[in-house]
Amino acid sequence: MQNLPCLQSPRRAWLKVVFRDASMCNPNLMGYRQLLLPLGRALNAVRPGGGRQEEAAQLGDELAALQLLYLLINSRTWAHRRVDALRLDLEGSTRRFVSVDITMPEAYAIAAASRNRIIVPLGMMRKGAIQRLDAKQDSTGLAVLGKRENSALAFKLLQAAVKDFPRKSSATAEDEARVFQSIVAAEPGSAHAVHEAYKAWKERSLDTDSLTARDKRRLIVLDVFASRLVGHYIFLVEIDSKYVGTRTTLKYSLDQEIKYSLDQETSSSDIKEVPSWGTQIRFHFKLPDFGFAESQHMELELPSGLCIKQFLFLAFDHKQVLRQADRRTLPPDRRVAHAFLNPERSDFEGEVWAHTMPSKEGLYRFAKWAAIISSILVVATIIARCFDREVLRPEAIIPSPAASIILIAPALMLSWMSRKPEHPLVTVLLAPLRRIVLACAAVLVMMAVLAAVPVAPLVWHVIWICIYIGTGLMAVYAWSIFRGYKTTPRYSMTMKPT
Amino acid sequence: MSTLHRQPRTPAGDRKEFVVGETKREDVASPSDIEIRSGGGSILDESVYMGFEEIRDYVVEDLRQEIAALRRATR
Repeated sequence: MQNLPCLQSPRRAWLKVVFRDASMCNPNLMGYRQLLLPLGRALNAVRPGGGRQEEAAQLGDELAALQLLYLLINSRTWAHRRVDALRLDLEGSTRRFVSVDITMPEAYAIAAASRNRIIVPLGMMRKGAIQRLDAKQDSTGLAVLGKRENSALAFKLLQAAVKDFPRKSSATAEDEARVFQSIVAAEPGSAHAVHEAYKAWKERSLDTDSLTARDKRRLIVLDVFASRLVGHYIFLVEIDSKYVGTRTTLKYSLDQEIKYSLDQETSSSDIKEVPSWGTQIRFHFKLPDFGFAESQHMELELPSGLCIKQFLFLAFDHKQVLRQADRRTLPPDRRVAHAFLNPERSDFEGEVWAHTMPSKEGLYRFAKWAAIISSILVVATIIARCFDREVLRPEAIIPSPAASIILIAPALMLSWMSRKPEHPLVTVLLAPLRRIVLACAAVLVMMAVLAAVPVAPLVWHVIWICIYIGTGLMAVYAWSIFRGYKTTPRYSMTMKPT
Repeated sequence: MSTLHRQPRTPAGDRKEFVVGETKREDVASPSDIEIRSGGGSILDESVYMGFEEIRDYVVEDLRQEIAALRRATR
């Protein structure tokens, strides 16, 4: 174990290159190399404190790994409050803003390589590209550990988890290092194969015949982290060591990917298309690292024009039984919802379910009144045509100046069509209302055309029939849509606490 | 026409009751139209299948002792 490359100091690595690797030397210098090899060994041996420094470095690495294990396993004692806020912005992106209140205990603060800095684990992140990650503390940028440092610490964590564990005689340190390296370096596509390789290594290397209770616990810890680190990495940041023992807030934000499910037949596959429309949309988010902090808060903020009808924050156990719930039925037109749970166990899974629909202010109300007024106008034209002698004066002529007045309404309606980039959820939810407005505008344009252009009787009657049919269809469509907004979400429920 | 429109909807007033500790996930959750993907789960996702939560306190105590010993050794 002690000869693993990752535990060797840079000095020793340098000596290895100079004195042992002949391929890296000029053949003319081979004589010097032969001469320098014993000299280097001798210098290393007699250098005051050289061995002790190396040993101290190894102990430091081991301490850091154990501290990291402790902080991850016992996170609820130092991470007091975590707020995950999902914001769907008008530019079309979905970002998760995470804020964690922590008090780093002195005994478990991991010393960073930088002077007067400590490393803080803020949970696990799925491997793969993280987009637009931004970490902050007190409005200033926070250093996030890079892949190399992160992998090195994760590697040491796995080693520390299984240190002093009884091994079979065939076990080698090189084999162990290879398996652990493959775990921390595993890519999403190779995760399963790497985990299988880990299980095979366990079979061939670890002696599990006569384990003490402590060894059994170690094995479970190793299994837990090996399976977790195959698909995730530990999100590590650096903060100033002056914050040790002081409560502070760390924040980070990143883009989140959205998956759209079109229907029950295809919901299992990943369809990255926006559904064409919907009156209400069910929205699901499986919260990462539920159980990391003592108190977990969840917020959802929708773009303007949408509102949240119902907001559920639920926790399930591994048998998929509901264990904790916070249900919020919101006042009308709230586009921000908040719920919180105090996770009872760290193996519960937290999920958010939200029911979203267009806000009743804005386009919703405009489309509703546009449909009503257009329908009334068209019904009025039917009455006027049936009783034209009683309603219209004889001098009424076409083209009529009323055409320009009628055209104002479609122009106003079309101004409600968005010309800016918007979030796909807005596009989906406002699509029915926009269709209603467009249908109303089309009806009014046809009426304006008839008022402005003297047409042949056949064309006159055909266009009027189109207006009647179009208005009828629009009215039925609008009625079904506005009725759809009033339906109860499918997962509405009444809490009955035990 | 979109399948979102075809999905049946619960009539107003037909509310399900659920009991914490009894209700199953499938009774609470319906298929979502939009899912924000997080890669999430619990902080130690698979730990439940290994009985980790039951030994957590012992593991914490083991680590506490080991860290204390190492801190003494590195001083």
